[in-house]
Amino acid sequence: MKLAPLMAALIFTTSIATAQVQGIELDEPVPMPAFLLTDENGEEFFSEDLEGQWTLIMFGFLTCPDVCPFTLGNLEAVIAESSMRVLPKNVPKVIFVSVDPDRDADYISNYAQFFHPDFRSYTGMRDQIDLMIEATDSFYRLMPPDQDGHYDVQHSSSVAVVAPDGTLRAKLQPPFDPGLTSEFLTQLQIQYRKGLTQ
Amino acid sequence: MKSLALSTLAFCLSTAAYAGELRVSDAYIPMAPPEAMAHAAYMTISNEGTTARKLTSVTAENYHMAHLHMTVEKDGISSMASLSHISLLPGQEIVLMPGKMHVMLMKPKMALKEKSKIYLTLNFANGEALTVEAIVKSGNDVDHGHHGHDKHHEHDAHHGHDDHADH
Repeated sequence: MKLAPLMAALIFTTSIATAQVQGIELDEPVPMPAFLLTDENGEEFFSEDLEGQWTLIMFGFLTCPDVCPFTLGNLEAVIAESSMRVLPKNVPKVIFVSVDPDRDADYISNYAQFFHPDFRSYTGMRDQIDLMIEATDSFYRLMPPDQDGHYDVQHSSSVAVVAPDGTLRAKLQPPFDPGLTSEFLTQLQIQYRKGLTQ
Repeated sequence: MKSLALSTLAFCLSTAAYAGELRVSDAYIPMAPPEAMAHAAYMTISNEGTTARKLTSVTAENYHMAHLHMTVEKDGISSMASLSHISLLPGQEIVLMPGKMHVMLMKPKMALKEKSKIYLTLNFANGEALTVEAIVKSGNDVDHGHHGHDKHHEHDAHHGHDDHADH
């Protein structure tokens, strides 16, 4: 008798876990446009730098108290999980792009590295950011400032997944469960390699 | 023996604070990059009394400003809504957690130091103020929302049915 509710509970929690969509694969790969991002040290990230490895691109801003650190923390866990599942060359590179260069351009370089030594953060000219936003079907909006001059930034919570051929392949969605997200990425990579050999 | 009792007492004081019938526990601030100009504080607030209470503001040592905030996720867009207050019904427990309700801490006066304590004062509509110690936690100690689900569901009793599945 005691087993029945336990089983029901198990089935229920399992169905919640599988019902969570960790990512959406695009029907067709979308080429990324030519863009250039920078940091305050003059380090550059070109669209060409997307080639040769998997890249996860996340948009945010440095005055973001909750969701940006939360997402980067989760991506760190996803990368740790992926490191155990795939070859080192297939572990995705993580790029944080600030959509708030006015406030962030002077401090951007160390931000993402705080969460993982291999993570990189950049910002850029407004038109270069907008190119990336458009190409990844993302969104951001700088909200009107309050009396103290502080403004909030709305931005897409999803993370863009770019394949080693420089095309956008998928979008990852919150809550970025490490196991499920890493599994989604692994499957995506298998599909990608199959496509290359056909 | 005396020192043991004292240290036990000190431990209790550092993990939970009471004011009348309000209880605040597990207050923490995740370590943030030095470049981050805004931090977040999370905690569990319980109203163990028989009257409704209203948390109207927070003041934070080491910060120029603190606001009650809610991260809102709508159509894939993440934004923050400012909360004028947080209501606590008698017997209600509210959990401030990553990706949900939080105290936004603006413009730190000093960089965060791991395991250090920062005093937050919670101001209630009836004039009561409750000061709590928030512990600065490193990334590894912070629940990123994927380990402690069961724990959250226990706290989250007013949020639907999935907590029943855990028990």
